[in-house]
Amino acid sequence: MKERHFRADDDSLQGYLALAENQFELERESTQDSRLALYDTFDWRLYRKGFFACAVPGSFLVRKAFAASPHLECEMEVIPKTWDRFENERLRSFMKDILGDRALLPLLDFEVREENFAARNEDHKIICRLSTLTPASDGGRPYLLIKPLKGYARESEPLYALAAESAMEELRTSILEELLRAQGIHPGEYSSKLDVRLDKGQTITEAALVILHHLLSTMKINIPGIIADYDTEFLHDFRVASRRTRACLSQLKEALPRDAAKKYNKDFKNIAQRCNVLRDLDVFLLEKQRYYDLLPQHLHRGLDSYFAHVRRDRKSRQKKFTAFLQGEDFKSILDDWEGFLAHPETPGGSDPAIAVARKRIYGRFRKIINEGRKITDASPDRDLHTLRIECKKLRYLLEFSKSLFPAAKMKKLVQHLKDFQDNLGEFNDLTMQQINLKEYLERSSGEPRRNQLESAAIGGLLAALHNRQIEVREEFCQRFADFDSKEIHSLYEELFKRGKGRAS
Amino acid sequence: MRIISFYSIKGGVGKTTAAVNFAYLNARDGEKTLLCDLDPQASASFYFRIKPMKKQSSKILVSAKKKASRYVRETDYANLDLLPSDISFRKLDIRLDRARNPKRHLAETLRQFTGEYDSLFIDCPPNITLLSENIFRASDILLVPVIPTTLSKRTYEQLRLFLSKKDVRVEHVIPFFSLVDRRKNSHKEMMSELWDAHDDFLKHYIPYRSEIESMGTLRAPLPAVRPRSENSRMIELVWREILDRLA
Repeated sequence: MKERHFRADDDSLQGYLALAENQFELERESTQDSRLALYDTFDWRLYRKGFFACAVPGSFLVRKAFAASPHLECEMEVIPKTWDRFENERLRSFMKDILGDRALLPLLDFEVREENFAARNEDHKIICRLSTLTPASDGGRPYLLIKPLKGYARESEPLYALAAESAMEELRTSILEELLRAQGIHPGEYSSKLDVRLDKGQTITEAALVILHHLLSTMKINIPGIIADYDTEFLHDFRVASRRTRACLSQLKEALPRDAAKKYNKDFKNIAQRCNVLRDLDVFLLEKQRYYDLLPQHLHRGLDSYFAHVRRDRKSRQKKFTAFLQGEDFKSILDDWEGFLAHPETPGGSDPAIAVARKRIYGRFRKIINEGRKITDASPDRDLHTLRIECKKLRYLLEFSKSLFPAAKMKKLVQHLKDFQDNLGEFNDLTMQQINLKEYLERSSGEPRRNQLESAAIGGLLAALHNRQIEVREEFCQRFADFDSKEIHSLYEELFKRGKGRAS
Repeated sequence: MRIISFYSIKGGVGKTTAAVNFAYLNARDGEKTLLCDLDPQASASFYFRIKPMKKQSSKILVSAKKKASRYVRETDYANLDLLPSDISFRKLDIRLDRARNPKRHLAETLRQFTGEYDSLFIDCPPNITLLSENIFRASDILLVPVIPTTLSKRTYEQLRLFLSKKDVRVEHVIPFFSLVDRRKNSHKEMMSELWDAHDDFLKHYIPYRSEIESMGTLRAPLPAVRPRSENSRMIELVWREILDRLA
């Protein structure tokens, strides 16, 4: 029942239609020239869910396949960048689920002539639809789509057979992907996930270089999006890649010469520090609604001016960071790093990557368990902070070496760790938010312009965040107990403990 | 997913005509719609030029293991699919009787379509049977076509009595006039009598016209092939009034 796509030329297409007309009643349903602008997020969220969205003059459509009837359709002139700006309710909730925090970007513009035919059986029932698509680009070669109606796949089979007879080439992908590839765009290519395949025979240096190369390309590919300020996730992905780079440099010590590792670690730390506050403000703005929901309606107006301040602050920090990214200092850091990765000076460590991974992961896991067990309700907050950093390190190690161990087990370990990290992460976020709010309150306390409503709102927020933090802290023990479970221990032992069964 | 059923104790009252046309109009508004043809006469399937299913297909609505969605056929119209009927559907009663929960069994089976469709339209066979009771219990809306004659009035009142006796709660029971011949005084009189007696009867109605009768040869919903005709407009008015009533 799946639609199938073929590449044709004018002759084979005419031949095909003539043959089809011999066997079926073929009716031309419509012909249209349209100008399409294809939209998706930078990381292809629509495409990954099997959708594609396009704007044609006057309306916006979401389809499940290239020429399928629209899944969703709405008349509009301007395509909003974020899900919350869609006025049509159905589109808004659809986009909310798929886009999340990412912006919808126009990726490609093309003109196409579309002709649609219906093939009918002896009852004059339509059993299959045929569409020919001729893009203005790609040399004007036409494509053919064969789309059997639901329940009529078998009756439509002769229409596929005729395509082979007419010497048309079936596409393994879709027409859309062909058109995109022709423009040098590879759908689905970018993902923020660290997706590297390591080899069990690799040394730790070889493995580290694969990871570091991948991370460098992730950083570079996100820079234009940060500068254009399309959405917050470009910066986020950039920061994650830079943090992973630092983790790789410091965790896999034997991989690279110590001095070089130290130098580059410092460079990336410097970059991170320049955008720490910017990311905090991004997160704060993304969760804006949650803050409003924490306060009674009559205090909402007090938050408006505070959020206006945050937006201004963010804007100026974004500008400053953009200037840094476009400046000489950043360029030389990146150039140096790229040059180093291309020619790492020394031979580096010859230990097998898998052995180092086992040792580091198991060591880190034991450390977390030991530290975690010491934490009581009376322990200071900074103990949780330390534990959070340790968990992050473990997370990166697991992600780096994912491909060296059985996938299902690794997925489980990452998921369990993530659940635990969520608790620690929220605790830390709440700390930071309270610090920021307090600072703002103190900084402008002497200003006569400050209105009472704003102070009240911030006071209310501080109280609400404080209460939430107490809850999160109380949840910690349970979350840690879940992590410190028999099942998790035996998995870590099985996969990583020295002398244990070598499952891989 | 809302379930809208078309029902009449009496046959030949324009029930399938209404189901086919309203399902089409609903789909045209962008609602994902599945029309289930449960009438063994398979008239709705015929109108969409869809062949009846192979024998024994009635099992699909009773057995939890059979995936009814495998039998769904796409109509020629966007957003509108059809579950075809066939003669074996006359055995549905017997099959339901043997089921675990005979009175509510169908409601459970139809749940498999939730998520895939916004609306389910059911063209029911006439007569009051275990199947119709199942359909009532599964439905959110019961649309009842009534010819303005004394006999039809009686059967409508029988239906209301049945629903209250069996304690079947359908959220909306909406009767409307069908096959109305404005040249007949008896029709006009019966309509005003019923409007006076039951305030739930719709103001708009489906007329008795040869163009509507000709759907049997057109084999298509009238508003799809004759969008500008007066009769299509009258059908649409009834459907809009139903939507207003539901809003």
